[in-house]
Amino acid sequence: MSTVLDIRSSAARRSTGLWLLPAISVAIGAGVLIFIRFANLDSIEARALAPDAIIAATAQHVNLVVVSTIATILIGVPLGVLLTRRGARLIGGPVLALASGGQAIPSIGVLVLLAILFSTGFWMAVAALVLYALLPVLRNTMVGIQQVDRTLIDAGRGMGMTRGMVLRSIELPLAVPLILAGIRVALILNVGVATLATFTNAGGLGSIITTGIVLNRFPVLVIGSLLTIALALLVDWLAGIGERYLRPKGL
Amino acid sequence: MSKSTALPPDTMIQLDGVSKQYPNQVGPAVSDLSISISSGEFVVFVGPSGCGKTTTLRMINRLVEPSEGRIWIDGEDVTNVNADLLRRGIGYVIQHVGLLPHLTVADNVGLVPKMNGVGKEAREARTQELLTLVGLDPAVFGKRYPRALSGGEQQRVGVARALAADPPIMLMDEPFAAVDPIARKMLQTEFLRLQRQLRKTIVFVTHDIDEALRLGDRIAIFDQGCRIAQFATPLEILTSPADQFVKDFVGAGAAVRRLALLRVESVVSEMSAGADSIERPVAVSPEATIQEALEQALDTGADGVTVTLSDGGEIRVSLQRLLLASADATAAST
Repeated sequence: MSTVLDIRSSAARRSTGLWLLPAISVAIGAGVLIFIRFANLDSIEARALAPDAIIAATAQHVNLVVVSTIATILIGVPLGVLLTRRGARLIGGPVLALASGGQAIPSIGVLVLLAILFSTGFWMAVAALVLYALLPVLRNTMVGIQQVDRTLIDAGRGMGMTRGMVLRSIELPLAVPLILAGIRVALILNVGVATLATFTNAGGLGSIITTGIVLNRFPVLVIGSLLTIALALLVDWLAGIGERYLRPKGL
Repeated sequence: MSKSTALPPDTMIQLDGVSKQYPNQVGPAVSDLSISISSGEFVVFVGPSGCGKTTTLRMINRLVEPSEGRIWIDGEDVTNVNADLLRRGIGYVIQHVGLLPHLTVADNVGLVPKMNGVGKEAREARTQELLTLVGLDPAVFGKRYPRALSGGEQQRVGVARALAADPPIMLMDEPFAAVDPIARKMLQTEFLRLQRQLRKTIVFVTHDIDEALRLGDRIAIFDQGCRIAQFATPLEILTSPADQFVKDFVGAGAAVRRLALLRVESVVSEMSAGADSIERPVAVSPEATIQEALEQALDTGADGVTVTLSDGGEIRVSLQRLLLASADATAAST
């Protein structure tokens, strides 16, 4: 359990980081727009970087990230809770090992393997993203619940809470900061890995990057990458805000 | 030892041949323990660590299920009732307090009433009442989170929370062990005051014999063999320890410690008519312990004390008589 994915940072870093990340993100976005507007683009570049194409690719990308992250939460959190219940604790270790293994496989390998085994398209990309991003959510849920002070659970049981009440009103609320940190990691992972979704014909910002590579157009490649970075920073910023406001008070 | 069909009417808690054997452990944690606790009584379990006192306490609210034996609460065999519902009727205070850090002080205190379906307004009124009772201003502390409280304040909230549903029984597991000595003494004093007012049946676990002697109406001393070596009043334990273990556990200075248990009024009541002739008395309350009276006398350089009697009269008592009362305690207690 050494690699708990907890990116809770110091208050100082958080308060400057709170405005630094979106500032960088907006600067990149503005720079890209200005470049496209004024640069001398050939017809292939102009087509690849047309506003419609960029908007469509970004929308696809965001869609992939949102859907896969929601699916990851819906699978990872309940599974994590289940694996910490009495009776399931013995299989918790093996399941965690399996999830770690899933993470160790290169993401493009997972994606291509799934595409070969099943089919291509949006949902296959989502499945691959979920497989890949499940570990941080699953592990942080489990660790978040396991690290709850036993004396609090004892106090809860002692005042007559059922096991379900202990889970709802003690274990889960106290695990929220770690679960949120896990979700944040999953989100960031998904923004990055979703660039590979283009290989299963699911679009996204990755298609701009591959266009740049395949057609040997350097500006297209760079702009695709920059947009991905800007999106990642923006998502991380939003996730940080979410973490800040969803974490229970008093902790 | 299973003959508890006819309990005395004021018995609140009755353990009947209770044993606990944990799996994978040599020897039982508690073996064949029987004890009877009256309604409104303050009983302290004291003993070295690992002697089964906490296990016994936790068997009463069935956080630990007994391997053998029966437990009766208020005349009802609770060995087979729903444990969660049972616990909502029993206050429970632990050493580490166990306040939920993500709930405010007021919400922590209102937890059990909420489980019992008490409405929001009634709950808030009850919370205010309880915080005031334990000496915390609800306007100041109610909205705070436990993190912002000192150890002593947290334990007051812990006591308020345990009292919230007005349970007849309170189980307390070393509740004052984690606070500093000064705060502990204050909590003990205030808790005694509270208990005189509330008259709960209390089972209190500690490893500190001084705390036990100070608080308990009766004290059960557990020995290493997970047995009760003696179950008696503090005075009886100090004057006639049942065996060498009890004697060693209580430690030296039993005679002097008795001074802290005997009250001035008990000395006065044994005095035949006529006061002692002393020159520089200091006034003390009849409820004061002899130790407190002596302290006052020594602090002020007096050679005796003046006690105001309930009928308004005054009587003078010499220091020597106060001291000798402790030596007489053997006779007084038997």
